[in-house]
Amino acid sequence: MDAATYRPLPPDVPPAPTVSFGAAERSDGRTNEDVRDIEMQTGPISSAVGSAFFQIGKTKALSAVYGPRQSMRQARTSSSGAVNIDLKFAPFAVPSRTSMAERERYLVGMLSEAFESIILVERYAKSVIDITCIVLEDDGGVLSACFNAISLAAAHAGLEMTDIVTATSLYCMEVPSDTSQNVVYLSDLTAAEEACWLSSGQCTEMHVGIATSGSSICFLHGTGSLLNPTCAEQLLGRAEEICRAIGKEMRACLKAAYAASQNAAPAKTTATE
Amino acid sequence: MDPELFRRVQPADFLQRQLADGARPDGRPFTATRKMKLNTNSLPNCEGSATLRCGSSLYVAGVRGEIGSPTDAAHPSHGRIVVTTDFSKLCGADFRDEAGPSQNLSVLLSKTLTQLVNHHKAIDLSQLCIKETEAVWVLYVDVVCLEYDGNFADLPLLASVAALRNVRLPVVTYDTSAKAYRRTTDEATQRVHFKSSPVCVTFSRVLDEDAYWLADPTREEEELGTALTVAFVGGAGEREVTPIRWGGAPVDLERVSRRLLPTASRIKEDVYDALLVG
Repeated sequence: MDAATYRPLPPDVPPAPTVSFGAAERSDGRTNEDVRDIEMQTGPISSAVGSAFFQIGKTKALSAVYGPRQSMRQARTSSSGAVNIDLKFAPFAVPSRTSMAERERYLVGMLSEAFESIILVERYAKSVIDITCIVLEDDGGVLSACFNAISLAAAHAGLEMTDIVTATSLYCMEVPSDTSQNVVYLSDLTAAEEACWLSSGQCTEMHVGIATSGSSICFLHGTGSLLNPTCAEQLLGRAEEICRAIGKEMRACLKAAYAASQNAAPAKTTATE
Repeated sequence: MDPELFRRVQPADFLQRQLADGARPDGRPFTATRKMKLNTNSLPNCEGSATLRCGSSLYVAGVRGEIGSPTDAAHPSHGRIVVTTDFSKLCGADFRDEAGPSQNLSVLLSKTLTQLVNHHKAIDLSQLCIKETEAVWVLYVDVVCLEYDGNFADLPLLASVAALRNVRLPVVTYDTSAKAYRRTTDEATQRVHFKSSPVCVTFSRVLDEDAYWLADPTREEEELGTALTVAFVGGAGEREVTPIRWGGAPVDLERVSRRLLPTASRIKEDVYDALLVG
């Protein structure tokens, strides 16, 4: 089936997302700082050692942990263990049939760097842990959704980690304004918002992963410039609030799963922010 | 020895003892399938979708409609359906060999399912015509396995057919300035009609000396045996039955036709057809 095909064009162009300083001005009624509703569940894949499903708004990520397993290659090259992270977009996760390979590699690179420091690999000598993640729907915030799904799956698998870590994505932009304040801080963009603002380069992104018991940052990836001296402080402060809240829900979810496994029944929690 | 430990350490012996007693490890008779649950909830970005649960297996199939030119010169009004199956590392299936060249079971399975779904006795592809010789619907069915517990052929095909039967194609008009077809705001009502749903029934032939044929094998039963699939296309009067063997030990053709076909027909009618309709 080599002939080129295309998806029929949409009936009309949807309105571009808007942002301003007012409350509840974004297209889904959120304020600039609001994060979408979150839902998480452990154990959807029963044959994996640990698995988790994480949903934020319409973005859905599913992750499974297999292992640790022996690896001759790992045994030869290093005395500690290794973590293999594999990420895929489901074919229907995005509207058009484009190749996501480059994006997948980019995300895997960042996630691998983060989780190598979080999972205590020296306790899994000569072994490899396989973590896979599949994005079932992409409506913005994929990196943090996958990060959270993997973190929850690893915790569900009982892997030795430094802490329960959660991630979120924050953005700041200059917007024209009559007052002296012209920088807007945004949390959790949808796909339409990302398409509108990120590609033009006007927006500064910061993806932050925080260990929720202490306040240490275990993952930080920024693009763009910090627009004023207090920008970093604002973004990191808000990131900590969001990450802690997600971390609290994760702990509740894991406790519920553990209690349920003692009673042999399925468990699930839903959280709204 | 603890039975679970024995099952892990000596899987072939464990299975043999269970089967000699007349039951499978999960308690089913040899010719029974597992309970299946089909949901046709709508996936995003898809014209039709289906989720199939069978035991601990979970498959998600999404159909996306795109527009292309007809590729078959003999049938300028025929659209086409392309099925792709995906067994990634997430589902736990070992269809990829880390140490060597990757096995092409996914590719082989995708091609087989594509042929079955496009078969002229199963479906009239001219229903996918938009403008003869210029534009037809090309339906891409993506089946993703989220959890794998045996039976790699029946379940993706059931999920694909269920998703296709659930499709609602939008009304499109040609936009001369964009030189492409555009969806209109009219309600999408065009469905995909199957003359008869293509289904296949898979067995695993385990334990060479005793040779038990187990329908709808679980993963451990499949790993210990050779898979054989019987594919059905076409309704009463024009049924075509095709056996498909997926590698492994040789099978006895006479036994296949004599013993398996009646069982396969029964499973097709009582279980799979009922699942797709109900």
